Amino acid sequence: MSDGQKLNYILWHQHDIQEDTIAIWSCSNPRQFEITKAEDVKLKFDPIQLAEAPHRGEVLDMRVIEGRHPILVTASSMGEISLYKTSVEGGKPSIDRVATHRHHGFPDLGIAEATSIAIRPQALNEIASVGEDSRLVLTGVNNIQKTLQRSGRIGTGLSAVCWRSSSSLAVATKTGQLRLFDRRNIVKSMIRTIQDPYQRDLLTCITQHPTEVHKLATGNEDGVISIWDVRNISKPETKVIRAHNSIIWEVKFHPNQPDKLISCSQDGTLATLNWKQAMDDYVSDATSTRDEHIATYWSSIRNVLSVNSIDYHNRANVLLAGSDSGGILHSVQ
Amino acid sequence: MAALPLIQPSNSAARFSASAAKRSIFSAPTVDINDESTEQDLLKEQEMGHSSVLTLHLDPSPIGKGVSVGSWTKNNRTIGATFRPCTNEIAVYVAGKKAAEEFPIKQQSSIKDNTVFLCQASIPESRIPFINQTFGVFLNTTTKDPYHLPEVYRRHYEQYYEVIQRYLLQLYEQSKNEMAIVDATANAQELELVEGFSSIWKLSESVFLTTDDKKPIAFMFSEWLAAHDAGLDLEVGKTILASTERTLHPHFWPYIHQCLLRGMRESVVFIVEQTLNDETDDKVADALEGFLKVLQGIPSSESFVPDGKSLERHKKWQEDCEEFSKVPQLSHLGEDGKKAMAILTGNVEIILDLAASWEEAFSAILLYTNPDCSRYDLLPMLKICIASYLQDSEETLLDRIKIAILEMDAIKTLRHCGNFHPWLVAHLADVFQQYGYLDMSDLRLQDIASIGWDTNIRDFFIMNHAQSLMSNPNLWEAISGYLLNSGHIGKAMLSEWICHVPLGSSRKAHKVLRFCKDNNLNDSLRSINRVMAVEEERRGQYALAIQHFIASRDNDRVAKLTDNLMVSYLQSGGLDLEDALASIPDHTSNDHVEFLRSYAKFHQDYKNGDVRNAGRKLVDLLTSSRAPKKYWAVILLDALPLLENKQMVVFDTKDTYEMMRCLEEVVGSQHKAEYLQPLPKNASSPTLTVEMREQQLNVVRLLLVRNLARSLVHAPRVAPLDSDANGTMMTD
Repeated sequence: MSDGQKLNYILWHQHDIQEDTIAIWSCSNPRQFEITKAEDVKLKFDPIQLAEAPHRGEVLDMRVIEGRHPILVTASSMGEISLYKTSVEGGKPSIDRVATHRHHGFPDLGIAEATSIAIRPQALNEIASVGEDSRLVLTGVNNIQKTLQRSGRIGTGLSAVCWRSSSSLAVATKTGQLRLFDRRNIVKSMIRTIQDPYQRDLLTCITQHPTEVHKLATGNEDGVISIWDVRNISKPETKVIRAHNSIIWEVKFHPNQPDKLISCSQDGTLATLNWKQAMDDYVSDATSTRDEHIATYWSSIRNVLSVNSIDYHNRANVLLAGSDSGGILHSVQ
Repeated sequence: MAALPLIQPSNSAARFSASAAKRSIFSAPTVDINDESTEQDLLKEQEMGHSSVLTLHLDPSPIGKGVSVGSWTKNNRTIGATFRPCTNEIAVYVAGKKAAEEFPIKQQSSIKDNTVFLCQASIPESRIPFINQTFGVFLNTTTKDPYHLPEVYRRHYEQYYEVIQRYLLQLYEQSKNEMAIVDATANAQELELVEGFSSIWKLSESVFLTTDDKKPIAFMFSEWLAAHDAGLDLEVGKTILASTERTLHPHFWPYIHQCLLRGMRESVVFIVEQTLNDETDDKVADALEGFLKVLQGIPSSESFVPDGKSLERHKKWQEDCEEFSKVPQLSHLGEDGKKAMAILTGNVEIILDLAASWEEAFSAILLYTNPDCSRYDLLPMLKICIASYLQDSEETLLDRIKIAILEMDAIKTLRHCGNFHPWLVAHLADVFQQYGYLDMSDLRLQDIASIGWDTNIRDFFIMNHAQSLMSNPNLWEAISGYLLNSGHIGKAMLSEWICHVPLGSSRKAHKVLRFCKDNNLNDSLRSINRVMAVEEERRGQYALAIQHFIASRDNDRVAKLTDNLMVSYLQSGGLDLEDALASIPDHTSNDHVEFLRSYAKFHQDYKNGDVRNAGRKLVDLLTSSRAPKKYWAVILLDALPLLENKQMVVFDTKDTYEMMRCLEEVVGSQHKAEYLQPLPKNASSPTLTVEMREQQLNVVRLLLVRNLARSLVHAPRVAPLDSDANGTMMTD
């Protein structure tokens, strides 16, 4: 533009980088927020935000490495894995990013989201991550910049990862498949692929049974939870459990009662369900309604939006969930 | 060197003011540029109170001081603007009317000419949970009927007020904390706004929506006044109680008067009791005792029990009051004591004289003259109070809203609330509609009918609220939910708007797609799928791209992508087609995908040693027209190992004839060069001529001839497709 010229044309440009924050809360005083069963307002608690730190991109997954100074590991929509150190200095809690590295991306095409991460059990020294670029990446906790192993492209987009043991991993794909890997060589050692013959919807989450290493649970975008026994790869172990009416965002085995699963969904509810009751013969024709007889549903009277994440505190017996409404839901199980 | 335009956020976005140009509440917002407006002008316009048209003042003005609009535009200037639909944001800038070359006079450009104003009514972060939570309540209540299972409805509906109170509490706590001056100002503005919500909502609830008909409005109003009008300083009460000679305290009687006006029986009784206990002068004590006796009979919601005798009791109490007003001992309490009794006897003049606000006067008149008054008969008393306290110029918007509510005029209430905040008016309109207060046959709504407005007032305000939220794309679920619940116009707006929601992450993209799918927004679903398909294609995720293109019914792009996959497979051989196609549901009917799937299955069967089925699939590909002709040469070349199979005859005579026909169609076609193009290259000769490619097919031709002869002698046993039969075994 030279002197004497006006602007002739301007366009809005989509700003892709979303800045999120990551925060630590204290929930010691259960008073204010509530989650209700059957619309009864009973339980309340009041979380207090203690510290926060900026996070590049949307937080798509988060794990904790326990220790004297717990470390938070996050997966971001920018394809990055970040480590945040939490500490208390002079009685004031703080959270600081200590390392970030982009592990997922398309060559020459830019960012691929890091969709899920998992911390290697027992050793707690490795992070497994999967991304939109269809790759499984192993990296060390002490040196996140260094990639220990990177798989080739697996299928079309990976949505979730979990460690089955300290030596093997399970990965869920967008094509409804489970893929099992030997940690020693993820490049060449994909053990097997398991495909539900009737459900090909995107698997959104995966979790490992706390005691039975051969059992896995997955949730999909159609609200269906499946239990898998990796020794029998022809089909899931349970019948189709239609736990929710919409996308399941997270599923976990109850740490104290492994016969129960906890899940959260786009439909704005949490569910605790007894999957052992669904161990009848496998039924392919899934109904369109929820399996309410095996599940208990939890929702807030003020939240109709997606519940994105859940966690269970096994000593305090507190179930927490975060939702799109910006609220933290809470329940005592 | 070209100067970069300055992108400068303007504070003017917050300075929406009123224009008297259009007065209908249904006018569309417009943007005016006012170069000479001052703060006083703005205030004046705000005082006019007709904010149906939003005037946006650019600050600093692009027109310099002392420059008239005429001379500014003569210098080839005009105002341009670009609207950003996903966030309701407007970029306003100084544009040239004509190209610089066409303009004869050399133009002087200033920094003002290169300033871009980004105008957006932003939403404070702290309000986001409030918006989302009230949206949850809205969805729960809007589908329910207040007259059917009223208790269930009420339980949900009451959440509105609870969420407002919770947010108010949060803001009070925030205001106590140390904050930067900017934050403190923003917090104070937000606090004022939410206090307004709280006050209006509760008053509307008391007047319009209460199901507690047994509780007279007089008590509900005094309760509302106590909770929402901080006119009484409780600290003064504490000071009075702490003093030794209370009746001589300068604030004693004014405080008593105010408590009486506000119907605060307990407070006034407590103070008088304490004063009586400590009073040393017997005459004053006697007077206070009599006064206390009267005070204990002040009407309250507890004394107005539905036994049919409440009015009788009240009359009796009024007579007692009248009687005590005339006793000589009252003179020991002085003039103020008499005034207090005048309040209790319902002396309107004294009440109007002593009350600090019209609300206080209204509460007292209602309570002491007609405590059993119906909410439909408030107007005469209201008029008296307004006439004494409010001139037209003094009326604030909040006053106008409160008066409209007390007049029980739902439409007027909404009209004024519309000027207060979109959140308030949208949710009130929704509840009013459910209670049947918004009848479209109402004469005051005829302006809608006359302009052929094909919606109702509730839908209009809900849409308006949804639009006001659009500046924050993170609220897309609430915006979509509101639009979805505001009639067919809202749904039409939603189907257009949701296509502009920034998809950000794959998780959000799935949420948006799921929302469209669940709510039958098929056009939007197609548009968003197309956007996602293009993105996946860019990343090389062809299978996912195909899936999205199929959902967007974009067959041409599906064909292009299946070609890409096929070419990639033929060139590298490393692509697992079966795996790549696994994400595409089996029931998807698309010819191109079906071809690719059949082709992948053919290879799978061959790899698994099932040559019979592999052969049938190959012939099926050629004869069913599923395979595009440009791949026939490749398919025929793929038949080579099957034709060479020594253990069995895979193709019968009929199949062989068909394959021969296909071969001749390829090599005899005028498009031969194109059809032979996909054939694989040799490592030794990376560039193949058409003749060299044709030679590859000559091998097929020879084998087909040999197979014809073999099939005539050893006809394969006919077996259904996918059976276990492996064809006829050769006997020699």
